[in-house]
Amino acid sequence: MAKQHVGYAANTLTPAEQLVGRELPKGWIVEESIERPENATGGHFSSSYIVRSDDSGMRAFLKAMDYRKALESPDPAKSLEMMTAAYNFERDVLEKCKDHNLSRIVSVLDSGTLPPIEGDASSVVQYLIFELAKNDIRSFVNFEKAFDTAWVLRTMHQAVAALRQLHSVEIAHQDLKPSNVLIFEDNLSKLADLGRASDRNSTSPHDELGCAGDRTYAPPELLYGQVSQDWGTRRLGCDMYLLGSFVTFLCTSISMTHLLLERLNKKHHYKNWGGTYSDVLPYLQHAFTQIIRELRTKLPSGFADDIAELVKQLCNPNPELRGHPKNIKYGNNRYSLERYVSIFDYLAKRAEYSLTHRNPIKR
Amino acid sequence: MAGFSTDKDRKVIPRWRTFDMTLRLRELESVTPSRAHQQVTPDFLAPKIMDWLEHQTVGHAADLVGAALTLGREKEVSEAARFLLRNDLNVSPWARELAEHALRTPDNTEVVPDPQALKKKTLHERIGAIRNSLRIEPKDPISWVELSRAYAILGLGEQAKQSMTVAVQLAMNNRFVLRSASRLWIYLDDVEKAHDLIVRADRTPHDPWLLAAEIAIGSATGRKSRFVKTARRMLTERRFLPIHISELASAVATLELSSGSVRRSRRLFDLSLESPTENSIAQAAWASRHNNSIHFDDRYYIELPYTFEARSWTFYRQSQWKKVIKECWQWQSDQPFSSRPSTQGSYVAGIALEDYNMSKRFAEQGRMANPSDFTLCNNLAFALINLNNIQEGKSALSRASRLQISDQDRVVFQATRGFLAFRTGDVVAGRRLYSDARSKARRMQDNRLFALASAFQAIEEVSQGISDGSSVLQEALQALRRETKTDPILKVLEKRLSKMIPSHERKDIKDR
Repeated sequence: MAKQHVGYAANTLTPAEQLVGRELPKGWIVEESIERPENATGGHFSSSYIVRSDDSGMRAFLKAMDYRKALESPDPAKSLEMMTAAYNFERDVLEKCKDHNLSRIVSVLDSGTLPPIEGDASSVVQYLIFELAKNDIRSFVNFEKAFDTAWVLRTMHQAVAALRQLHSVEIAHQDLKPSNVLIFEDNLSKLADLGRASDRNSTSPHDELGCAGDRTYAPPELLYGQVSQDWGTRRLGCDMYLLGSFVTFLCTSISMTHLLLERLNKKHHYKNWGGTYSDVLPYLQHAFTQIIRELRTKLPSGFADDIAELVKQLCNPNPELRGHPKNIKYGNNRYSLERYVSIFDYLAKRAEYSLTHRNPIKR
Repeated sequence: MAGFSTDKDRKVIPRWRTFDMTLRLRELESVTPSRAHQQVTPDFLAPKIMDWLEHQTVGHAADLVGAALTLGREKEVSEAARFLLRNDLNVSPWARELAEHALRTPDNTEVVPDPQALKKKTLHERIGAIRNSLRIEPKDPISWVELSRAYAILGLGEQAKQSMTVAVQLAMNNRFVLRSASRLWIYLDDVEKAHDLIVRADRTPHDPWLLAAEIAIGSATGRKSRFVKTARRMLTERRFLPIHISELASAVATLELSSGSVRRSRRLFDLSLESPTENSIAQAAWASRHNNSIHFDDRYYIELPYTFEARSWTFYRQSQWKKVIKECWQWQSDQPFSSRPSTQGSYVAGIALEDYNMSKRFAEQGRMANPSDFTLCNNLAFALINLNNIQEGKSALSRASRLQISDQDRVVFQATRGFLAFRTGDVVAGRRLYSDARSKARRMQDNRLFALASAFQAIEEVSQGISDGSSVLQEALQALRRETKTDPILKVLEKRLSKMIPSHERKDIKDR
């Protein structure tokens, strides 16, 4: 994961890019930089590093906001304002998660500001330090070998549990995708990157955006520009879809949005569609039916029906049809994940049991 | 005697094809341009490309290719797509499909309808597969439409109706659902319901495809269109691409033609052909057959995909009978619940080609979806009797006698009964029935029918050696010669009859 920075000549580096070797408050030492492409974080300029605690020797991940780059952007004032708001929001949300002991969310270990170099106010660097993961899920799912049902189901369960923890403090993640599910020791997975989250009780910097998270995973209604005014439908409905899409990724190596758009006629792709979402919905629904049918027929027989049914409930292209049927039927919160935590836990346990009893479910 | 389609009237009634085929023929595109290009978004692909370059795993490759597909940037990820297609890797079928999709170049070859899809066994299998799908996801309106279509092809009207009702409830403003549903109600002889459905949809005044259907079906019911002013405005404003207003222009052009405004009609037909659908080509071709002021250059248009109906008529006018048969089969496969292609096919096969097996096949195929169609029943009887299968021919004719028939059908029916009588040796009854058919045709002042009935009687009289038939032959020949311009198939009969005239009389006729 770590890679030495080679992209800039020394004299063109911004302050946020020159942290290697620096000692930060509370004994953190910046060891190496991690190369990320420009504009990779949705318009916010940041640099990434591996840091080490001088006291404990613990290694961690550091994200430094690059205000100098913001100043070089076409609209510096706006960029600076957005970056500051984004930094403050992410820090506050992470603190809130920490305060509520949300164990399934990647913890923030420290945050702070490096004072500017004398005479250069723009050299200020703000940073966040997170616990360091082994890697993201894409490097761990071994699609090339036999399907490890127990591991896949346990990872699904951990993702649902993480999302439910967030929802319990009225935060919607909005950017659940494979690269944001990080793997730690003992195969424990946690949810990372709350930069695109929405807190029901405060204003979030990305609330105005139709599609707050990574567009390439977004639920279809957001891709087609149908944005509900209801916080639950818009934010929790989005999370529910992204969860189902992540489950699909673990089973097929492809996310639901990608599968849907692949099966859709090019003319119905959101890039070519000028009509409303309700106009295109029947076509998406048709593509979705095909995918669910394929999941039932192509996944390992022991859990294909269960997974297909869960994906069907979580990812329905119609946000009004998303959610557990019992929640919908009895007028409960349709986007509640409580039932799903239990269901995925049960399925994972069942698979683990059959594994320990040498009765693996084969693909 | 074989019956035929009159070709007197034609409306731009929506076609009802499979969902995939309707998509291919561009009927389901949005009429308003996309606004997606106006949105400025961060580069979501760049970090995924870097991740892929660093890790080179199936997970990273699949993630990247999927993201590129979402952004419409497949060309940038061909290396990752090729990686997913490597044989030495255990890649999921979904990832392989995705990679193939990303590497695929657009396919513009014409896909012809598959005649296998009309076989009963295939249809029942298809019904089973769709029903399975619907058990998994019953809220998929497109699958309900597909199910309804399969039932309609099998002639199971009630099941087709039930399935379509569910589709309409699920997507009451969807163009594919509404146009398919309206076509189904027409097939089920409930034209008013078809019209009501389109009129009541909120979407109709804003959608040129639905407006076209409303005008066409409205005029078929004899009702005045509620949206004709909106349609005219839409055509004048030309806010939409020509393909989207092609059928609308064609529908309004047909209205203008029927009200005698030939100039306006001609202008609108020209507009309908700017970027035409197969249906508007067939409509313009039909209009040009009935009014010389409507120009239609079939050399260009019949090359376009799916123009089977227009092609079959063009070849008909050119007396290229084998080509007519080929196009009729394609037309039949394309519109399996329509009786017109099989009527045309069985008529041409039975009269022009004397290929009674072919005629029988057409009639049987057409009767699958239209068991109550008189002409198909009659043509089946005609083919069977010609094949010396008298018993089955008799029972087909007896089924035809129980159906509701028009005056034209009555003439055809009497002639076929006469034909059966001749073939069963009852010359007196044969002559009486043919004579009845001819006098009915004469009373209707339908010279074409009269010529046909006369020709068939003459053929029977002469070929069976019942009489030398000279007077009957000559009367038939005269009748045929008067009408060869209106129907080229009569020319075939004329030639056939001419050969039956004894040589000494042939010279005599020539001299006359």
